[in-house]
Amino acid sequence: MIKKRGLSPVVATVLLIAIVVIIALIVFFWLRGTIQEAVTKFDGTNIQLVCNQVAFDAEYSAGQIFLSNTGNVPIYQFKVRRQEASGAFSTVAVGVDDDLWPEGGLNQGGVYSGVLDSGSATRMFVIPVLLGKTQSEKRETYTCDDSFAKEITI
Amino acid sequence: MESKKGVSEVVGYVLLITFGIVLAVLVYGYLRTYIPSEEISCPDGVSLFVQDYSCGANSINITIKNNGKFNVEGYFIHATRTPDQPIATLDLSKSFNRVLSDDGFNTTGVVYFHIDTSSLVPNEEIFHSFDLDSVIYSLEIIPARFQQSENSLRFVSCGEARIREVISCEGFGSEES
Repeated sequence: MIKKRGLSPVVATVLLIAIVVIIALIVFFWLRGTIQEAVTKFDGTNIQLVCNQVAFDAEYSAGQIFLSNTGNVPIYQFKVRRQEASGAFSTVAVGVDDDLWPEGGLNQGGVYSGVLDSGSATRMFVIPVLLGKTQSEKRETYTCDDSFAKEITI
Repeated sequence: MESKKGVSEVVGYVLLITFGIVLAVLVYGYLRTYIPSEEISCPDGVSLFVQDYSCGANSINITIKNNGKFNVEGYFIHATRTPDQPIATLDLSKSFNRVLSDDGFNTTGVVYFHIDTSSLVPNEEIFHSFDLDSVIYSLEIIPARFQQSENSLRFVSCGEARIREVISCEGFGSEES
């Protein structure tokens, strides 16, 4: 008579299900960290698409930056990317610690002028930052892609 | 007799369909946000025109005409404090003088043409006055209008119809110039 050894079918099934569940959980948590949670604005439009609708003017003169929101998308903040002669980049936020910067950013028709240190930069790019919300209703900022940046002459 | 073990065919189908539906819902929920919504913008024919201006001792009076094809309800108005300022950043809407003006009121950066927010219709003109605390060199005006968008009325800034008017108020701080 052949001796039957090994796991019983019930234990094997339980093990199989447990392994699958554990692998699924691992993959889920790994993917959750990899894929960004969608940040939306207005009526649920992805904030990356809203960047297309942003319209603003930016100029730099005598150590001051001048900004004007000419579109219909509120701009929460601006970042300025400074390019040095060596090719190195540094980024600063506009209006930080300045009481003149509006609390909610530049809404429709909003304007701002303030001091901005250009340092030894040879080129400067102004990048809009928008405020959206996640699916869990958490407010989150989103810096628009570099293609939406505007170069300002120094 | 052949032993039948494992998940039955029906249960297999049910599981397969359930997984499919769950996955589809998850993917739909994520991709839904990438559907572009209608962009709000003003029609091409929106246009305002500074017909005339005059400077008082501490004020500026402007006559604005709607020379476009569409009704306009209000505008954003900014001024420059220096002749070489590239963008006007002095918000004049805060110093709108309701008493000296024909009609209108100001709120949150906007000046409305009429107190009841009714429109400045094509070819209509209106006189508005603003108090000044310093000399200004130019004005920038962006028309704004109410526009229907997916069952709601939205206030839209017409940035592409922006006008810039160079101002010469040499008599600032003295009598009428």
